[in-house]
Amino acid sequence: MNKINEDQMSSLALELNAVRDKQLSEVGEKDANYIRNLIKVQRSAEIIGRILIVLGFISPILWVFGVLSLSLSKILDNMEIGHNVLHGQYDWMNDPYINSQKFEWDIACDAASWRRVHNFEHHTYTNIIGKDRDFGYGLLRLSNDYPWRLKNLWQSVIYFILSVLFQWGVSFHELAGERVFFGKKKENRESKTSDEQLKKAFFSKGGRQIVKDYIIFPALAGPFFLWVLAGNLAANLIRNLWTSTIIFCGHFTSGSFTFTEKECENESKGHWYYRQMLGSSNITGGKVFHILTGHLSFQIEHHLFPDVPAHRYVDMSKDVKKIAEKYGVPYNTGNFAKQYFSVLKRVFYFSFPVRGDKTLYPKYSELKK
Amino acid sequence: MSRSILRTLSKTLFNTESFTAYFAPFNKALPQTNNNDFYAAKVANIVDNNNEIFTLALKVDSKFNFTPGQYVELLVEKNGSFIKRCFSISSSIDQLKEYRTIDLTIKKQVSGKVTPWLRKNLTLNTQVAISQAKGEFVLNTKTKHPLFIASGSGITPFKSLLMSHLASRDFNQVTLMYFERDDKHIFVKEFEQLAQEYPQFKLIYINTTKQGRLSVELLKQYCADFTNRNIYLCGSAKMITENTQLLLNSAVPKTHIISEQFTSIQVTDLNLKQDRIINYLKSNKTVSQIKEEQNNLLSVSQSNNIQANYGCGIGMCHECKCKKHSGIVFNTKTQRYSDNGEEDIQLCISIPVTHVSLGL
Repeated sequence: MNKINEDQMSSLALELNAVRDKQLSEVGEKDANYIRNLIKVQRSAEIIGRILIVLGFISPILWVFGVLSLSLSKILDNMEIGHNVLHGQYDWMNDPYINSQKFEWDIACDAASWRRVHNFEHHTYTNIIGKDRDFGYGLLRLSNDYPWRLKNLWQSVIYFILSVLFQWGVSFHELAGERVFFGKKKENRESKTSDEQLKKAFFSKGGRQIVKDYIIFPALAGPFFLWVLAGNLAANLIRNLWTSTIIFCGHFTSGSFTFTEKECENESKGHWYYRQMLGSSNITGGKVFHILTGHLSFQIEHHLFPDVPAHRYVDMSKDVKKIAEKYGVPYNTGNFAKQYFSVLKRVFYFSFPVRGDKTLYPKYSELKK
Repeated sequence: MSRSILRTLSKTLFNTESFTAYFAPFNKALPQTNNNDFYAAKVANIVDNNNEIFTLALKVDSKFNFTPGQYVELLVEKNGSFIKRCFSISSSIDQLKEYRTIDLTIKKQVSGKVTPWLRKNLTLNTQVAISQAKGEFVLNTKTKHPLFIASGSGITPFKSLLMSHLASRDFNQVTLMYFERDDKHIFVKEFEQLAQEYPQFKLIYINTTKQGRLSVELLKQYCADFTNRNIYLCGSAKMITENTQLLLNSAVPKTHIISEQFTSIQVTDLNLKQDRIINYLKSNKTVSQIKEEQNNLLSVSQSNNIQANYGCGIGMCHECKCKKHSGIVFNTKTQRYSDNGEEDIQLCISIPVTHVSLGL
């Protein structure tokens, strides 16, 4: 595979801008109704789920359905609603609640901290080693750009633990926990928010989540305290496993490229688009599956157009795929099993030192001119 | 239970500012009515005054009140987006007390994004919202013989003032000079009825096509003692500026002139080659940008030491979002002009094309 040249990157940018503009010109009532209806579904699922969990004393089946309903609510809240609203996809609605600057979600990480790191750092510097802290979340070695260390040997176990506790991992990671709590500073990092503010956000939001799911709601159930506590724990676990899996499938599959800072200096809009396409991967599936992933199953489209309402990625993907084919840019997609297996393989592969510079995984520097 | 406890509880249990906010998606009323800034209202009637102007009657919340002469912000949902516009109330205080309705008389701006849409899309019982009544264009209780000068759609607050204060016998004498093109005057029937009922009300229609704009001659002809009156002016910014100057030149004390300006900037009217003033409301600073400068608002703010959040600088991360209170900006990413009213904008991709006020 060859690198595309600057002229091709310029026309790539024009074509992708046209895809974006077409969708933006159609954004309106349909999108507003979509997100409002989805919030109604999410809130209904939460209320029903919490009631059924308490009714678990009548039959454990009710408890199971309650857990599933509450998990659905948390997944919708975090993925299709929270993630996308916090990207500003619905800010044009001027709605006091469906707004990136005001929305708060049902997860341990406070929305403002997440927005600051994810929207800016991750989406601006996608897969640039040393700049995109989301690449491996500071815990996993997923490219030989990072030297191998002994601790990488058990990173498959670390990945499993991270998935189980994903909401806490995200919260710790987004506030740069290593720096804030353990003083590990990096030279090229500047923070616009003080450590004290970050710590306060971490404990305040995380604390509220614990109080809600493990104290207040169980206490409201009186003698069924433990039923509710266990139900909430199970719902959080299901949400954690789902969200971490979908996110890893969007970024750490076998086809995801990595970049160096130097390769991205003074990068053009075309190059930025090119990098987003090379650094992301999609998952095929049905309508409900896409909604449950927050349309992050269209991670390529999401990285190209992060502030376009995500349900539009289904339509946009047809055009993006054609453009990718035209320019010979790989369009990394596959079913869930294929993509997930490829993630597990990558985590396992980099657990061990690799001889030489070449690995099984692509780097931008290795593309031919 | 105190408000702060409820707020903390709601934030803890549902991650929303209030319990009402959690259930807002299920509510038919506009979400802005959940706090005290807006009142729920619904369309009770729509009447065309002529082919350019229409009157919207709104059934309003029982808590809403106003003083004649004031305006409200009308909030509507247009194509999924909430949009606000200011309109003067044209009905009397008695109408509110008796029927819980107010009238907003609205001119359809030829290339406006909102006012023609309102006429076309609002129907009976459409849910809208209105702000608390605002504005200082109200009658001074000591004013017993005012002169009202209206131009075009600037007539609307005077109708409310006249209907309310004539009924409560607040005037010894009141003169209305109503300037309008040809036969475009509105509220003719209502004003003539008032003139018949209240002899202290002197009504003068002026056809600007034939008689021209306000002049000392017209003032002397219809209101010889105008220098002793409190004079209320309402119309376009140009009308206010010119008429205020004319009155000051005619020895009317500045304290006797009270004015209300109706501003409406259309994208088609934009003069892109003009100097612009950026007003930073929180920092209490103003910055001038000369016509040749086409810098985005983030770089303007940074080079003038105004603290603004920022991130990617390419309009993608939304970290530099801030409230624009007024003015039009050009979005370099979407290649579109913004509205003139209040909305959130991304500083890094917004170039001011008119004077702009920001919440920074």
